[in-house]
Amino acid sequence: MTRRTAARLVAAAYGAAVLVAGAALGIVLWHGVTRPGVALAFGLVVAVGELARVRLSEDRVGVRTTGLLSGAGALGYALCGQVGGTPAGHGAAQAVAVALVGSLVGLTPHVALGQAPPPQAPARLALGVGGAAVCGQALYGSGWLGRTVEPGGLFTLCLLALALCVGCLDALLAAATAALGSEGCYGRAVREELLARLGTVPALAATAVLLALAVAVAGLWALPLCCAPLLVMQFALCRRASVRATHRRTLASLARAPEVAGCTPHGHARRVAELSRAVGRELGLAGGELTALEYAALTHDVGQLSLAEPVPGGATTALEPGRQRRIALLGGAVLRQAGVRWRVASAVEAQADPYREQSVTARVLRTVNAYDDLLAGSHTADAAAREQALRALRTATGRDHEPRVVEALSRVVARAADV
Amino acid sequence: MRLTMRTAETGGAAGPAATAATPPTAPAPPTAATAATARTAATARSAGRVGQAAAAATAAAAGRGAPRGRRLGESAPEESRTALAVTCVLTVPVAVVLWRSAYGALAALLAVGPVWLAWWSLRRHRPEHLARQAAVQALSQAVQIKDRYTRGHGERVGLAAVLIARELGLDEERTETLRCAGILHDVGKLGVPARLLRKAGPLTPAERRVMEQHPEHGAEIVRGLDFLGEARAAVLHHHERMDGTGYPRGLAGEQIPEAARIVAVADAFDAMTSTRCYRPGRPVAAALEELERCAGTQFDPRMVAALTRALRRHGWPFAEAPDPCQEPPTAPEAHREADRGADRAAGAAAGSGVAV
Repeated sequence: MTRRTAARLVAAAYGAAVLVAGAALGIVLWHGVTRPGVALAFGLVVAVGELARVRLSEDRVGVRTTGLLSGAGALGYALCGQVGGTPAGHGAAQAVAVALVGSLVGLTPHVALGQAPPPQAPARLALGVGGAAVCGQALYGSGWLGRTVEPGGLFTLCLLALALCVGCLDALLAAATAALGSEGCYGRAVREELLARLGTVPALAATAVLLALAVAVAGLWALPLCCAPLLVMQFALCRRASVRATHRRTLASLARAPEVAGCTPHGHARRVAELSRAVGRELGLAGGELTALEYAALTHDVGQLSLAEPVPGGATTALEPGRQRRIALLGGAVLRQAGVRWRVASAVEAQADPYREQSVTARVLRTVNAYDDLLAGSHTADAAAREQALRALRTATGRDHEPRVVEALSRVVARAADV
Repeated sequence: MRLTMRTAETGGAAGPAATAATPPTAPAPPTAATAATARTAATARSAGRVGQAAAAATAAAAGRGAPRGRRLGESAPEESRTALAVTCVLTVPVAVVLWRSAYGALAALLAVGPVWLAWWSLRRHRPEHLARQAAVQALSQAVQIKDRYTRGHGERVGLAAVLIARELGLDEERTETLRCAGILHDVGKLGVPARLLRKAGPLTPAERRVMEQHPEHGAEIVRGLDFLGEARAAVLHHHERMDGTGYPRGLAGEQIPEAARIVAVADAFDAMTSTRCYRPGRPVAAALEELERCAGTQFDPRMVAALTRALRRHGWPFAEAPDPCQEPPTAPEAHREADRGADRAAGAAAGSGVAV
């Protein structure tokens, strides 16, 4: 599917979401709220969930937020047919309205702080809740099918399947939206985004059905018991996100150090990191591997701090291999202190080794670093200089640079030049 | 995913910090938690027991909500296990009720949902303070691979700053920040050519100007590290003087951030008491006398008095610091020294990585 078609489909989905939300709010305003206590309790859960929304600042995707509790609460209300043994009586419209109002109330402080998530999140919530509520209320017999299903194992399975479907579709829409902003192959971007989101869908669906059934059997007191663990989880995620942010800033500081020390030209680390990422993607790396490559590229010159006299231009390729390796080892030792993943530190340590002894991360790092050094050495960045740098790399494919990586680099460079 | 934690703290002595790796303790997988849920469900059939469980769960949740201080002893797996246990305890009453209802055992099994989410979000958790500690140590090691004479200087200044902070009655968090400020105050020396750092004689005016840029280089390097807080100001201003003749901004008196005034005293104290190639270290008493003499013009008298009181009470553990330079190395030897440092550091660091 082309990006253009996908963009149209995504826009259509969000248009439908707006229509659903407007219709639901209108119907509820017209007919009034059935069992306001229950609506208030679930609305509160959604609001608290949105308030405790976690900002996962991913490495490149921008800021992504996730509200497990609000999703589970809204879906639970949509699937809820009874409260403490008596019929709940709310229709699909009320389920959407409660989810929407709760979500907006919970998001207000975020908006006031200028950290609002994109408006797509509440829109997806309205769409998913609407679908789940229409099917769920039909199951309970108040809707189109006109007959009641007995509570039991089969009924639980039906609800679970419904919640899973809604969760998967929601994740697909979210992935399709997020992938629109990425470069490269659209299908692959959607797959990556989808994989990152699908992990929580089964748990989210199970929690939503648990909420619906527990409230149906035991009444509203079951609500806080089921929600409290999710709240705890959201705080855990929050703290994990802040740890990751600290880690990334540490690496950024370490990446700046060789530039401040005059060991490497300004912007070298950033350029190598960006080009490495592009080459890594070209070679089929994804997710954690790409992040590791980027971190390694960002900090690969830390070892040069040990040099008494900086090498001109930061190009260590002129040094004898033994010293290159020792500089790389020192850099790796500093990175291990910073708590980087094993893959990052070992790539930095192996950056001066022959490519046959290197991991793919180190191979990309070595080749891209050499390319940037060659370009910086020629003081121009025109097509002739690029071609000359690539030619120099191709002549060194016997020992230093892997041919596959050099070809990927030349494709990436050619594509960037075309744009 | 292997989860190896660095549990040791820097001892303050020279060389890379000793590290200890704890065996990977993954949180209980969801299947075990489910089994526990089911078992408890079978034994706690009476409504009274359910009520008790609910009360216990609420108490546990309240305990978790209590304000968190900086607890250096706590490790991530321990905290994760507590959170996981809370999740299980909270879900048990719900599972019991569902088990006894018309929906049956399948509905009770849904309690896996929250427990699985718990496991998912906690499995790779590690405390924030470990990430901060790692940041400070990595930057401090980056300075050390450049200049071996600063090895140990940062840690000693950090300790002196902590002594002053405790004496002034600052709270735990600011004290910890001051330790970081002490350790990192000379991180800007990364931006000064090594030959100036290693020069034994006095510097020429031009060389001095280059040397005096190091606070600004340091501020540039730690710019993004928000958690350092006022320590960043201390890095920038630790060479300001009370009479306004210091650098880089020429601030005077109360204009100088408090953290910078503390680090300035700690830095001068360690510089005087430690042995350099061109002169032996002074005794602690003589150094304190010198600080006393410069109090008011160069140093904040309050900080000098606090350091004097603290040292009288606790003593100074580095009074007998080893001579860092038996033979002043020439340039090629400095390379070789750095190389030896590489092998040593790489060896010590192997296996001490923290998985993120």
